[in-house]
Amino acid sequence: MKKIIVSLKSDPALYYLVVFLLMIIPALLLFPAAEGENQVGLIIFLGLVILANLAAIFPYNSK
Amino acid sequence: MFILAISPILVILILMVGFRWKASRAGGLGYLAALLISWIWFGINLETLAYAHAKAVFLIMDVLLIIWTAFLLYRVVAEAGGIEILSTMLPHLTTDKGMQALLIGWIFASFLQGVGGFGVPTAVIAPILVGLGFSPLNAVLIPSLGHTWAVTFGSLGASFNAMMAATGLDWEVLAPSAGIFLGITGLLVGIAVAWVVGGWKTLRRLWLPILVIALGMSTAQYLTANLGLWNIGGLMGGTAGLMIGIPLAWVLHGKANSTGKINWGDLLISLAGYGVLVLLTLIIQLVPPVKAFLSQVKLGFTFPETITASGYIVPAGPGRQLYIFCHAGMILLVSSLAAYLIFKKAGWYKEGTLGRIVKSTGSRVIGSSVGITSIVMMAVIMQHAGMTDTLAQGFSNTIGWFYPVVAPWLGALGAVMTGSNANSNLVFSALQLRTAEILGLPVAIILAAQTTGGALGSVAAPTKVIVGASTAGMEGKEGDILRKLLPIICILLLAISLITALAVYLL
Repeated sequence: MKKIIVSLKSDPALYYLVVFLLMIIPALLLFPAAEGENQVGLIIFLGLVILANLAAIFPYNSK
Repeated sequence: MFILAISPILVILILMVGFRWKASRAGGLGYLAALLISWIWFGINLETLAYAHAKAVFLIMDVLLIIWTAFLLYRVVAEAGGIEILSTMLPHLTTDKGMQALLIGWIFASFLQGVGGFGVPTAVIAPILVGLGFSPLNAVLIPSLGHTWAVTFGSLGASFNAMMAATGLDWEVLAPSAGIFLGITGLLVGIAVAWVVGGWKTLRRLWLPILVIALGMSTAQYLTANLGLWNIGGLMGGTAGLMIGIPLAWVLHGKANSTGKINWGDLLISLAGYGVLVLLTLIIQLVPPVKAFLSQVKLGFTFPETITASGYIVPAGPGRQLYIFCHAGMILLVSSLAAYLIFKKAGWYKEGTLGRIVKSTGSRVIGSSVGITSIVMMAVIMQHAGMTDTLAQGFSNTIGWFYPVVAPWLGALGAVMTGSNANSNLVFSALQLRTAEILGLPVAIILAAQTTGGALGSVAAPTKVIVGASTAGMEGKEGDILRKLLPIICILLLAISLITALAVYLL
């Protein structure tokens, strides 16, 4: 875990890749969650997308 | 409600222009603002938000697949020295300063926009022009203006595809008007380039080559885009420009500079990747059985009707469908692989090239991908919450019949604030479409004005000006560039406003 965080902190491209995947994958999973009327799934996946957007706003070294 | 509906867009505008945030940061905050406002004031529910996000994913992938692979192809060619070969060859064709500016800063810049984009034309050409004796300021201005007309169909059609994705309209509807508007812009920027070099004197001397080249490039782009080959519209426009401009430079103006040799064999190999791209695009688009076979695999969902607590309804229907094997991104990927193998076979690559190509492509596109993702999600949430409709109603009530004049300025504003024509189209196309529908204006013309304005505005985006300044040795003097660039862009936008109004009310 520590190694992953160090890698993320040292490589902006890797950081943005993780943020991007965190936006895209849960956003896509919202479709089956909505179709299955799975309220918990909806909240979790939407929360992840929001978290990823927050991560994009507060990057460690980018303006 | 109008102020609330426009707030996410204003958030992005203020952060990017006022605080110089990158699109990846500002987009994130714009998304959160849209989410919050749509939930509290527009009554969006969890299910509608879920479907909006899933729809957005397909729009995002449709746009990003082209952006990623277009830049990959550009890096494959650039790593082999292909761009350098063209950059070295062109200045040797004429000693006439005006013709050099047209050939390199207008035609070659348009070709580079056709194949690459992403600020590449100015970054590649500004240093060449400085080397040829142009002032650093003019060296930035000339390519910045010169490639604008090729932005929408350039970058392998990324901005045009963004407009199709955001509006849900097909190329058959959008390409004719966009082709005409951008073609006229091509002539106008040719005139602007000649004027920057030597004022009216140069313009009077070179008006005929400008007219011939503009006609050739614009016609090539228009015809290509209107045959359904919109992803190579800019590339074909630029190629037509080179085919007309090189002989013109030879025949009409100045002696060829003898300090360089042109190796036509190397030139052909360097363009091989783009040759494969043109060939594949032609085969897939113009041979119906091939297209039918490759269209069998598609990704996409059919979405149910959604309704907010305020009663705003989005009807049921399929979202954006991704036809994986005939998608422009797939054609670009195959072209990149073919070009890589050709260059490798020709021995043009040094050791470790593949790693450098992948790394430089990844590091260049991933930041902007995050920004595009946030902005598209924001735009789709706004549509599903009825915020876009509120904005469109507001514009139609306040601006009314004057709207055609304003449409290109909105596109330009979007491009200045988000840094690209594609982003502007993603943010504003749906709004422009809805406003045109409410006012009963021709949708295709208003959207042509949107993307032409976006193309013009994109060159005045702070990020692009900074890139241009740094490559011409003008770091810290971005304000000087903007002071000279902005009035020219405003004059061009005024011309597009006038053309839009004429097209809407007289045709």
